[in-house]
Formats: sequence, C-alpha cells, structure tokens
Amino acid sequence: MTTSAIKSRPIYGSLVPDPTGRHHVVVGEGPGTAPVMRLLAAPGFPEHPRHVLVAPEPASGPAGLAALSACGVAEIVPDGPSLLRRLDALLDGCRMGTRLYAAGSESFLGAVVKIAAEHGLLDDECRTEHAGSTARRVHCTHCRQVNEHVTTNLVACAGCGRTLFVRDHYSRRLAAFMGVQADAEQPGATPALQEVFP
Amino acid sequence: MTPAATIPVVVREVRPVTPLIRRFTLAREDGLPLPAFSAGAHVVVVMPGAARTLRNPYSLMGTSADLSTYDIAVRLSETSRGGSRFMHEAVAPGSKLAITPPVNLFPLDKLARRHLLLCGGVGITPVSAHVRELVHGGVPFEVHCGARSIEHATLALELRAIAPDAVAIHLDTPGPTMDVEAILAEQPLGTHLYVCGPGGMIENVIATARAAGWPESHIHWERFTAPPAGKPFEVTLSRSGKRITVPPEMSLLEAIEAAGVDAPFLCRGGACGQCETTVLALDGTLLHHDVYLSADQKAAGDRIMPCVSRADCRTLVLDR
Ligand code: FES
Repeated sequence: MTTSAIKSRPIYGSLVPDPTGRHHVVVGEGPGTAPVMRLLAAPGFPEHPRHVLVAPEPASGPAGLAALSACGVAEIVPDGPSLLRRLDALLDGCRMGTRLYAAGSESFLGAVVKIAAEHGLLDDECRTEHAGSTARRVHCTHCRQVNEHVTTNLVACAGCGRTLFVRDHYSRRLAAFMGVQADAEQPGATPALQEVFP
Repeated sequence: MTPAATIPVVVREVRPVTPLIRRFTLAREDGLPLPAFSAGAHVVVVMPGAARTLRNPYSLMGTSADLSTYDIAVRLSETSRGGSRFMHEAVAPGSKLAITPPVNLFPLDKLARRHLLLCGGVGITPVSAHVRELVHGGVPFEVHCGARSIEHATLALELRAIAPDAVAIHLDTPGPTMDVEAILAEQPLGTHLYVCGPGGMIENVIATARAAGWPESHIHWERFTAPPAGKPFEVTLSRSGKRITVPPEMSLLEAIEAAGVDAPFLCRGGACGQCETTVLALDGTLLHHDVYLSADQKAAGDRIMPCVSRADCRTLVLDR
C-alpha cells in the first residue's frame, strides 16, 4: 500500500464488501487481480448483482484465467486501457445503488477514479486498493502531457522533452502527480536520477 | 445571525395560492436591490407580533435574476404558534416586516450529473427556486410534486408550465400517489436526490433511498421543524447573568431573544447547528427536537439546540 504524509496524495484502503450497495462493479488490473479475488471470496460479499472486469498480468497463463472465472470474474480483458474503456461503457448503463471497487497500480487507480468522477460517483461509492508498483502518472505542468508508469524522481516528458522533477503534489482532477522542469531555478542543475516509486 | 443584521422590507403583494398557502412579495423599504441568493436559500422573517416578536424561516421561490423583490409562500399551520397565522391574518400589502439575509442550507449539488427533486405540500417552495435555476442549466432533472388535490397543486402546476417534460404531479385525491420506490429504482449513476416536505414524507423517501443503495452523499433534504410547545421551564443564562422562564408556546431561543440576549441562528428549525449552546449544569432531562445532533451527542446532555429543543428540569444553566 502506498502511504504518504502529503495531503493531496490519494489514500487507498483495501477492498471490502459494502453491503449497502445493490449492484457491485469490480475492476482489477495486473497485481490488482489478487485483491479482486480476495474480495469476491469474502464472507458476506452480498449476492447482489455484480460485474467483474479483470486485466490479469500477461504471465498468469491458462491456470490463472481458469482460477479467475471460477471465482466469478465475468470479463477478462487484455490490458488496462481496454479495461478502462469497458468500465466507462459499463458505468454509462449503471443505476444509483452501484458500488465500484478497483485494485491495481497507482496509474490504473488514478484513471479509474477519474472515470468514476466523470460518472458522478463520489467517495462513498468507491473503494480502491493499491497493488504492485508505486509507479506514478505524471502530468507535465508545461505541456500537459501525462506520462504513465513513472518510477523515477526525474522523467523526460514524452510531450515536450523537458526533464521533469516528479513532485509529491497529486491532482485529483487530473488523477496525476505534477511534474515540473527539474532545472527551472538553476539551468543545468538537476538532482541525481533515482528509482523512487518501484 | 442577530437581529441587528436584518433588512427592513415592505410587503408589495399578497396572493392566495391554495386554500392554505399565501404568496408574499417583499421589497426593501429603501427600494434598493435585495441580496443575491442561490436556489434553495431561505430567509427568516421577523414579525412584530402583538405579544412578542415571531421569527419563521421561509424558502425563497424565485431566482437572483430579479432582486427587486423576494417571493415566499406561507402555509397556514393548524398548530401555528403564531407565525403563519400572523402572516395570513395580520399581513397585507404595505405591511412592514424585517428579514435576515438569505442563507442556503439546501443548495443544488454542483457535482450532480442529474437532479431528482421530490416535494410534498408547501415543501415545494425551495424546489420552485431549484427548477427556475435548473431550466437554465445543462444538467438533466426530474421533479415529483405531491399535493392533496388539484386545488392544492397550484405551485406544482406553475412548475409544470416552466418545465413541462420534467415535472410530474401526484395527487392524493384522486391518486395515484407518488411511488417513491419506483422513482428511485431507475435513476442513472450520478443522480442527486433532494427532498422537502412533511416530516413523514422526508423520512420515508430517505429510508427508501437507503434501502435502494443510495449513498448518503447523494441524499439532500430540508426540513424546518416548527418548535414544539411544551411545559414551561426555567433557565439561567450564565454569561449574561439572567434568569428566564420559557413559556409553553415559546421556544427556548425565542425566550433568550425576548430577554434581550443575542443568540446565533440560521434555520430556526433544528437543522443547521448554528444555535448550538453549551449546557453548563442540568438537573433534569433535555428534550431534543433537532435533527442536527447525533444520538450520542443528545444522550451526553452537554449541549442543546435552543431553536427547537426544550427541557424538563429543575435547573438548566446555559453558556449564553
Ligand atoms: S438555528 Fe439551525 S439548528 Fe438552531
């Protein structure tokens, strides 16, 4: 689980059933598959209608896929981006009373929370659990490009090529951390490159 | 808010709306524009009653587009402690009153993807303002108004004329009445629910919404509890060094005000929390009538909402 004293940093919990919901949408990506399977097996997870979408790790193989369908995963999609598109379409048809559960990388959770917010879901309708890498989505404050899966304190922006310093400032609206030009104060003076979000 | 902050107004027009409801149009005495407000806001009308000053909250029905006047609707209450009776019997065009600046405890939620408004009886007044705001916005909305019969549905008919596709009217006679469960079952994600009406209706709608899985963040309601009458009791106000008796027909807040002590308030209906007062000493029981304090806070007995709550006590000392 990712924790931080930074206020704007999202706080993730763990996936537990919310018995007040009447329809449950569960999504997991990569290492988020394990929390999803744990949730589906949780005692008391209500027998209400639910829809489960998973993008498992490519290495999970046929046995892994069989285990997923055995615990009630309705749809297996190839990767995170296609899962997000499916989620978006699925939520379009959902009614009030729905609860959303998501597990996966920070990038994935950020994207899920953004889609949920676009559908008008508020905090008390969403549960998230962080799993696997702490890689960040980094929004370039100069060209607005979003750089996915950043594991280092510095990143070359895919949009404008500037070397960005990844700040601890998280924007819920953009579902991303802010990246600012690393040597803005003193040209050429950049800190050493480090892997900080493994 | 204290009496010093009130705005002197003059009644421009009084119109009967239904057998029980009258609409009052108020303008500033000095002719200046009234303060801007957002849909759902209310003012407290200060009425110079014969025996004592009366203060009742009423929702504003119009929009900020025209601030030369405010419109309020007052239902004559069978159990009136004087306020609605005063408005119906003693107020005519030209009468002078005072109002507090508007406060909004029942706004439309800006994050909503859709608004669902349910109202019953005179609870339609804030919804009248909501609808007038919503017809100018891009967010879809749906309104259900309950009324006893067609003669009691004048305000609902007015709203239907403004938004014919969005407003449904449900009459007790001849029926059928509002099917709250069916309405709540089919609402798309991101819908916010607003309910205003008699206490029983509000409780029923909230309970039905919760049972259908609606989270608290999407449920909004407004209820102005009229202060219930009760047995008289004595209170010591420690800060102002006064000892007062609260008569049966007067609320504790009114009795504090009548003693010349300024006390804060916004809703005067036990909903906003503004009037919360610390109990310094108590020999007896607090009779909580507000919907603001939690059950635990009420049981603790260390605070009271004087706008609606009373006490059955030998001693009550308040930090006021
Ligand atoms: S004035 Fe709002 S609770 Fe008393």
